[in-house]
Amino acid sequence: MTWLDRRRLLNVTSLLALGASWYAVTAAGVIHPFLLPSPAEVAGEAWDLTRSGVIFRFAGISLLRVVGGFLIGAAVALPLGMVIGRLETVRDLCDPILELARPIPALALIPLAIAWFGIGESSKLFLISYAAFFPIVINVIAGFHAVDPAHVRAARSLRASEVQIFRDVVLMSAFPYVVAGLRIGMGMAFLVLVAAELIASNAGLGYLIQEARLNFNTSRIFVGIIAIGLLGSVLSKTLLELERRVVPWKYV
Amino acid sequence: MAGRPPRIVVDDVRLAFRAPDGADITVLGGISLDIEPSEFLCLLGPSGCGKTTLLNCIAGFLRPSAGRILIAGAPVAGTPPEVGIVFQEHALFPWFTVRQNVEYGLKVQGVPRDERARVAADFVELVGLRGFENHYPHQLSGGMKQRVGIARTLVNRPSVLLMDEPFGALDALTRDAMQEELLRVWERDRKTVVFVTHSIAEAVFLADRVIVMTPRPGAVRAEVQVGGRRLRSRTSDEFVAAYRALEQALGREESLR
Repeated sequence: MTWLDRRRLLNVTSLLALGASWYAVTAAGVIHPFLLPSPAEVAGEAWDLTRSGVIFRFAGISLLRVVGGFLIGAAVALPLGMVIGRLETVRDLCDPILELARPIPALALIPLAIAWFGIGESSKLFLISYAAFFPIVINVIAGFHAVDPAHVRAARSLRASEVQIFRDVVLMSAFPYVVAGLRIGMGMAFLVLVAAELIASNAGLGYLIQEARLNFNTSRIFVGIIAIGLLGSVLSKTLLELERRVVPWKYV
Repeated sequence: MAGRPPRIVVDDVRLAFRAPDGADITVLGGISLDIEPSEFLCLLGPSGCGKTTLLNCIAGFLRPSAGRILIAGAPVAGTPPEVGIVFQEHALFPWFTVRQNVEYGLKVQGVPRDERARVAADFVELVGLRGFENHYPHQLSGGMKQRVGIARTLVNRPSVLLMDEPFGALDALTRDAMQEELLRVWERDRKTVVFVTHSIAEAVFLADRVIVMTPRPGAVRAEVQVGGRRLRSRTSDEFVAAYRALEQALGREESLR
């Protein structure tokens, strides 16, 4: 048995063990089914939501919000990070603001988001883009700041022009940081999604959970939570794979 | 490009800068050298003696505070076209493959794809890396990386090679092998070489002439002609004699006493 097979086997074992203990606890009847429904009930609920297509529609809407907020955050963070990373004066000007704003969790901004943008889509996009913005801008700054002077000298001594040096050295040096920042930013965007959807909404996975709670449908809450977990891990696995492909010199 | 190897004249070059506390620090205190066309010159000295600084002045990266540097009679301002530089720690572009690194000097000059692929393949072959064209630098050993670094510089066909402790990060066995390779490549067209090192053995093995430098301020302490062209055997009497002479010039024996 190869090492990889062994790892896969262990991965599956832990998932099965979790499911088995869940089943055991509910079957023993020690916890009220309202608080912890059995795996069978949750599976049944999941089947209903799948058959009606609700789960896909809601997941799609949530994904759209994450991507939308992420794109807005990235559109601001990329040029800003590049300028801050390259120009020392701008860096000294912006550093204190970034340092002050960075520890503020997106959730602390929910009341403000509602006051500014109401309870529609824009407040959700605002929160998600805020969350995505910081990891992107911080990484982009680091990337453009961390250009190795030896590489610039090497390119210059090979007669590269300033434009060529920017394209072939500065951009290429920053690229892995930018890609990592985008991946982490997407993760942050996803993390605040549910919170953003708890603000009055009528669709999305966050709404599904909120609505299920109001209807005392614990099974549905579980389906919503598991769906969020699945979507999130698929998203982060996909982005990681994408990163490996576009930055081959770090991973090959 | 190409061209006959030029003479390099370093004429009373001084370099000083002001430290944050306001004191003037003299890094190079008036250095004069006359480097013959096709000469292999080693700058030897302890860390901080200004040998890399002097090399950076010849490379046009640093402007001396006083004095002048002439390559083929022309004052140095920016990296002169006939100069190729091999860096400490190779400075390869990690995002390019071996082929892309070696091709880079041709690419920025707009050499068509086919031609630069052909030329790059020749130089990859020359440094013994055929079959590794599509590897990224991090997949190579230290010695292989520096071979790529040398090929990348040679592609532009410089007539002067400036080498800044290129083998400093390599293990002793790889280092010996690389020195032999370098001489083999050098014998082909006898470029003018200025090679910075802090290894006496390396200087004796490679150089026609060794300039011994001392620190604070960087100055030439001694100049040792390393006898009849190449001392290929590292255990020959001539090799040992030259080694002793340099050791003495560096003041090692005094410090041991």
